[in-house]
Amino acid sequence: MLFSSTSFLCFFLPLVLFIYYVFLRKNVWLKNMFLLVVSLFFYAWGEPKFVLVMVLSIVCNYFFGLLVAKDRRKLWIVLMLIFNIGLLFVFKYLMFTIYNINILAGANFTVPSIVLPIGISFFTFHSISYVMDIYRGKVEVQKNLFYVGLYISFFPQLIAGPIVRYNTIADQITNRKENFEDFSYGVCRFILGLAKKVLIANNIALVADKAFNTPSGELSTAMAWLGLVAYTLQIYFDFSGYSDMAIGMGRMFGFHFLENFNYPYIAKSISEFWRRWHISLGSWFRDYVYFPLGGSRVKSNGRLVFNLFVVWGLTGFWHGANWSFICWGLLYFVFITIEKLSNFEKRSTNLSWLKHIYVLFLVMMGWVLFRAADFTTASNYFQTLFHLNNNNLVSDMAILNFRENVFYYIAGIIFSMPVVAWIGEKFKDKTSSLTKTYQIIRPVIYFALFFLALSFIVKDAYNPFIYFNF
Amino acid sequence: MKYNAKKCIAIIFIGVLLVFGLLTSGKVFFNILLDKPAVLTFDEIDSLFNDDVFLKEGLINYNGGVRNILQQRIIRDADASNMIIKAGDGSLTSFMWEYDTKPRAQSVIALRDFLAKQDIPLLYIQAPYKVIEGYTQLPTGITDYSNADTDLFLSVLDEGVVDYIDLRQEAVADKLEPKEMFFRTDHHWSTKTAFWAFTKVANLMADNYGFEFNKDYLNLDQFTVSSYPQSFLGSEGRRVGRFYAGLDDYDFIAPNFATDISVNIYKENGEVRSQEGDFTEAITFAPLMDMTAAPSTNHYACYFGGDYPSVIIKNHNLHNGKILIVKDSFSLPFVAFLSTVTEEINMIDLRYFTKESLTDYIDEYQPDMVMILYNPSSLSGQQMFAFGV
Repeated sequence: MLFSSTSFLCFFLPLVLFIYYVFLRKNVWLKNMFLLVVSLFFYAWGEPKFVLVMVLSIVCNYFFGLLVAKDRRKLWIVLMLIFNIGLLFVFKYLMFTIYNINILAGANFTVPSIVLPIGISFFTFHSISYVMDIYRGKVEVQKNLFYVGLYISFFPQLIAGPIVRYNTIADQITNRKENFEDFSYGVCRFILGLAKKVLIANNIALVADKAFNTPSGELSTAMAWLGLVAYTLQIYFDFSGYSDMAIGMGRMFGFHFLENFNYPYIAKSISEFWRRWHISLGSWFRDYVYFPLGGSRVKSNGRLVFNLFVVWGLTGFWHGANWSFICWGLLYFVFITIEKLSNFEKRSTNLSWLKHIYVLFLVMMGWVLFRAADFTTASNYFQTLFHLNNNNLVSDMAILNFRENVFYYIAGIIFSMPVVAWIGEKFKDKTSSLTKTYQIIRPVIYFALFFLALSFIVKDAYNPFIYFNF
Repeated sequence: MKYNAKKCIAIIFIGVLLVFGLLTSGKVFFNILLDKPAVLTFDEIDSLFNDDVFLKEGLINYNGGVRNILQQRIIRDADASNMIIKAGDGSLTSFMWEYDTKPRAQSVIALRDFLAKQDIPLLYIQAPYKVIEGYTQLPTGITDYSNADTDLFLSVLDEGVVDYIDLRQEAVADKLEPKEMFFRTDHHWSTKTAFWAFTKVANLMADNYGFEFNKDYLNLDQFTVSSYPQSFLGSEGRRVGRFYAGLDDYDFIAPNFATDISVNIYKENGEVRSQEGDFTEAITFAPLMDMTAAPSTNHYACYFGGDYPSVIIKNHNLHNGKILIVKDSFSLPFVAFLSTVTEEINMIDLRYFTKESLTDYIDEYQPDMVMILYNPSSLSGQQMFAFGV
């Protein structure tokens, strides 16, 4: 089920909120059981058979948690990793592996056709962090199987994150206190997330898809740039909008998730970009891969480079079983390594705008690798971007797509910067008449956005979710 | 109590969720209970929610209003074939890709040959398309091939010596006002254009195919035109809302002279609906004739009520033969008017007519003449040309 669907907004969410607050509010156990059941139902809506995969993951990781808590033997961790990574490997990487073995070894193994369970990368990482944190003594083991189930499958963060750590919500599972302040914050956050996803990401996605799906010979340089800017905005508003909705819904039920995005496109270094982009994934790899390898506190630069190579190779591979994703990850490895070895972030300069351009340029080039179907497509796209082929500079397609979508570009560029936070600062003085006026019209703005988003959904407009694939 | 914007938003949100949740889910589950489908997939339930969402029309109007303010001229849905374009004159249209229409024309030639063996003449009637050459301005970057596709199709008919009338050319010759030829919010021709097309074809029937009738009946003065300003939102308009391109005027045309007509409508599910009386009683479908109803009511289809596998219209005042018309939706008002000068007409729509092949049916029905009336968009696929020859 998609958050941006009428079945979610006009059936699932109102029903769940109604039952939760009207019938179950005073009993934590009932609330948690209810949330677990509806989370599994939410998952089953799209993938009925894969609920079994998730239940298997929940049960196994519950027992791994108990075993690790009982005696902290590395054996349990090894077995837990074999199980979780094995599960992920079978569903996500087996086809890719066999395909490449066939090419490299000249073998002829049958490549099975395996459907990827939605959100498997996310719930697998939830599970690993749960057992690892028990092993490290950071959290107490959860003895209630259903509560472990709720942590892994809680529907707001189930399908596309953020990757919530167990220690973030361990206490909230049993001792959370819902209040109207939190609920109100959650509603506002949810509406903004829905608007980001439906109004900006979905609309601008049409341009990105058009550009990336146009045969290379017919794509003009202008259209290639329009498509690339569109994809840059789409992926940010798609994913951060989803995270906003997840964080907002978490709040509605009394859960406080950590932030997942912090205006990444204003970063002045690639390292900073990754501290602002998909923060929960970056911190997961930092805590469970990079630090255990020694992090940056190692004796030699060689070891540092190796650690970075592993982390960024895995980051790319996590996004998809494709060489272009691995190369995309390794692109970041190269530039983050250069930044670290050259102390790039600590060097002060008056030309900070140049740093912004450097980051944006590199990130956008990375998105070409990320979005293109394969290397050949990416290579052709790069050639068109820099007019290295005989394609037209400008085409009617580019004029049409720019004219039709100029509003979404402007809105996307403005709201990818901390404009909302800036507005909040401006209206901090509660005594000013401007603030009072803003507070009065604020509900109008929010519901204008909410109903506009709903109208796009009802119209059966284009509604992809990029991170469902991961 | 002190005003707090966030809490105010939350309270309204709860109210909105409850109202939309209750009324939408209620309607969806009521419809499911009513239809009792054997199997219902999650995707089908999703689309039921989309169809039955509370205040759907209002939401689409709002959407269209915002897009109008943003001056968007292209409205795209998830299904790319549902693209709607606002032309230079503010009317809504779609456009056609480049198709090889030769095989369709060859099917028509094969049908003509089949009919010739039984001495049944065939007339192909080419209805116009909303993108009119030299008039319609599409946004830069959108290319329409409807005229090229149609020209190719007719050139093959020419080579095959098939009788046809190209109403696109006739409209130019008769200096029809392009802006008035079609509804602004619908892809169909206006009722007056359909009437004009009827006069062109009826004249051909009399001059070339020996049909006898009172030619005074081809004069609009013999008919009453009832005008309903700002009363109709066409099929394209319904998908983008009334605030995107406004509303259309609707004209209902009915004869002043005495008529005695009976109509049998044969539906896909085997049901037969029969109506008889004068022109209005026999031919119109009352719920779509209600001009006080919401503009989204499909007034265009008030003649016959829509497209069906077969519709047989008998004019009991005439004895000049029977015509079988293979048609698309452009025929609804056209055939209504044609029935005033023809003893019997059988409208066949090949999208729904599946019980037997058209040629087998012609063998049974034995018409005096066969016509095909298609608008250019019907030339895009072979389905409308599956004549069974």
